[in-house]
Amino acid sequence: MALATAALSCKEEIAAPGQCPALCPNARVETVDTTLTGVVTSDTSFRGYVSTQEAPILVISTLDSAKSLAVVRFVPRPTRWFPVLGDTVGVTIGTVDRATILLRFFQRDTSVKNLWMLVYRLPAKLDSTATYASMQPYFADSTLVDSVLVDSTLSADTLSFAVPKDRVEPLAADTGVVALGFALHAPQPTAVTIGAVDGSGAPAHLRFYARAPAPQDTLTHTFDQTPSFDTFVQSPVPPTPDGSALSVGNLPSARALVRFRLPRGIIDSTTVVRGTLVFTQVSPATGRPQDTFRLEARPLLRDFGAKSITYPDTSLFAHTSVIRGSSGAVELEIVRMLRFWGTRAADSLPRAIELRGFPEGSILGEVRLARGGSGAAAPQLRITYIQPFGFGVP
Amino acid sequence: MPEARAAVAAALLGALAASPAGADDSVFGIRGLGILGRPVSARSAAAGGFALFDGASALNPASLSRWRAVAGWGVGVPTQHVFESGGTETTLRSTRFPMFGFATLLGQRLIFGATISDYLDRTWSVSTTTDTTLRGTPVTANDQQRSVGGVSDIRVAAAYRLTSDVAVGAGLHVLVGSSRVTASRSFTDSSYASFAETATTDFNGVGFSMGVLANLRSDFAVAGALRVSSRLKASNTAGQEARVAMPVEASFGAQYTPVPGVALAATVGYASWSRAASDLAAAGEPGTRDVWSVAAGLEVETSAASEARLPLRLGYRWRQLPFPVGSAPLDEHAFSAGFGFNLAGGRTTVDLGIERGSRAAGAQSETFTSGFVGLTVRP
Repeated sequence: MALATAALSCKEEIAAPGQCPALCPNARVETVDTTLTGVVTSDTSFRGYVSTQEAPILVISTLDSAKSLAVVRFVPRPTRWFPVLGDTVGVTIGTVDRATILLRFFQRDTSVKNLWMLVYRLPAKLDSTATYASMQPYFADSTLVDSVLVDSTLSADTLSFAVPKDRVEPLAADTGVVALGFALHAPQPTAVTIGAVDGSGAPAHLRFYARAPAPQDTLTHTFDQTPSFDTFVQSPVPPTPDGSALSVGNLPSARALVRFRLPRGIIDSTTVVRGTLVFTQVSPATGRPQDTFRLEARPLLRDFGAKSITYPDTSLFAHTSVIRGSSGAVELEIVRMLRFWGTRAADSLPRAIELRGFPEGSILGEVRLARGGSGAAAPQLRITYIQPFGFGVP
Repeated sequence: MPEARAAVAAALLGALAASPAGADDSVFGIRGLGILGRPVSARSAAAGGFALFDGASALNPASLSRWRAVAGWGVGVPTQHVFESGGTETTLRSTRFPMFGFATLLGQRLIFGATISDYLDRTWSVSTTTDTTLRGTPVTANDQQRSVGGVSDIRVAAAYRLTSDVAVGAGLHVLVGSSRVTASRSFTDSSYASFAETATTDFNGVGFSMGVLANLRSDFAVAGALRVSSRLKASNTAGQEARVAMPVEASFGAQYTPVPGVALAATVGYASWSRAASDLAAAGEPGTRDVWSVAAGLEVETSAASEARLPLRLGYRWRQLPFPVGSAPLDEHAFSAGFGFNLAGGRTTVDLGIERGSRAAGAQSETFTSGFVGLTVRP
């Protein structure tokens, strides 16, 4: 009996095709598509969120638009090692058999052949005050450590090569610290990015293969030195935004803050099904040749200007891709953001977004966007929404 | 007793396991207030015109006098609809539990009963496809609108046996229910997010019915019922409200037993649904009409070796539905058949029936096949 009764519960739900108007509800879904102009109340951009020494990449470039050199200071090499657990005396370095350098390449133009990586010896007191002008004298023949052909040596994006050990041996006065500089040489302008010590998980390595002094010279050890500080110095340095346009991207990274005045009748009372923020570029996007980079828009949690806090829900973020050299409109789909702003949870939140490169600190591309108040070039919001459904009674 | 308890427990378990009645019923329920319910037992559903004489049906409060012991009953109805329009057929399925009831005797003459039955069915779902142009690009939108719910009639009634042949009854009705309507749109272009909105409409109203059942001869009985209701109040979550006038409903029936074990019955009903015309017109619905219904049936009790009586039933019914489809009136008719058997020493009765019918309004038509499973327990 229970089985029979339960069997009555089997059901299948299929909607019948509407035969309008006789067998369709009186109310219909109405979609409205429009473009809103003059929605930006204020905007500005700031540079310096991620500096070159904080970035997870080091850029080495011979491009005419931006030349750069990578500089790395390694952690001090110890003078002894402890082959036996519990040994407090250890073994000193007798001789160094050889030294190698390992670099991890993230990006390079593989069409550029005969690309050489040049390694230079830099002062051990290298620090964050280094600039392109101050470092350039050290990239000279007299300080050249070695050079290696990248094309034939690179394997699985990793460049590992031996260098003359005496040219990378720490000086006594430097207490074990070695600083090196990296530059490129190629038949044509090009750029590469290699891993930095900050967040890449693939920094440069300087390895010494050492041997104990006699009669313990059978004891060997590899000292694997990673950077204690690294950065890249560039010329020209990306300028501080001057207010003529909104700058986004590059290193040091720039962000733009855009504040909106959105019609409550649309945002709060309708269902937005699509919202496209359209920016006009005032100049072609810059970056490495053939580079495609991404921009990210985040809604703000609190508007504190340059120190604004963005809303942590990543599902609300919008992304778009920009091709280096392009000058067309930059469009961001922000429907989730608009829908969120229409909810009660977002009542107290500012109607503002922050534009930044993605991932910030890892892109070299930059866009310059027209600000609100730029007339026809000002940002626009193309919005498609559906009016509240007229359910009616009964 | 243990068998009766087992039967009741089994039925309750089955009912609990059943999904709520929320699948798609007749598409014709879109119009007006929905499809009119039929507050009949599985026995009356199979046998046509016996509803006014059936204590388990909620049409005539006087019919409660047919109960001779405490009883509880319920009905489950799985239904398949095949909707046809413009050469396209769509099959819809649903399961409803349109009737639950209880009756008890208060002395020798007074019988008290309570029933919950379907009054209006407002469960339907339609889908349409619309081609539109957005941002200069053709985009296809798929719309679906769905309503789930209806209005139930909770009746508290009493019957009184004036004599062994005449009984009168009265009932108080509370109409209560809700329907949840969802409108949604999705786009084939993934650049556009989907849309969905939901509103719930609550209904309430009250009514009063009275009836009489009389054995004019040992082989002939008549019954009649009259019902009046207040306006049905509808209010939705969007803050809108409407009141719709309810009809005056009258029915009359006759039952003839030419030989013992064979019964013929016929019922005629009338409902003045035109009273609701102006109220529904204000909501954009076409005008309603007064409607008639006719039902006739045969019940033959067979002899069986066991305690089960195995009555066999045949029936036919026709009714007009008050809410037109466009300008076309909607009518419905059905043939039915069924049987019943007793279990547990006669304390449990299972009634099974099947009904095959159709509805039509202009170019749209629908055939339906319903099964009726009724369980009556007399502990």
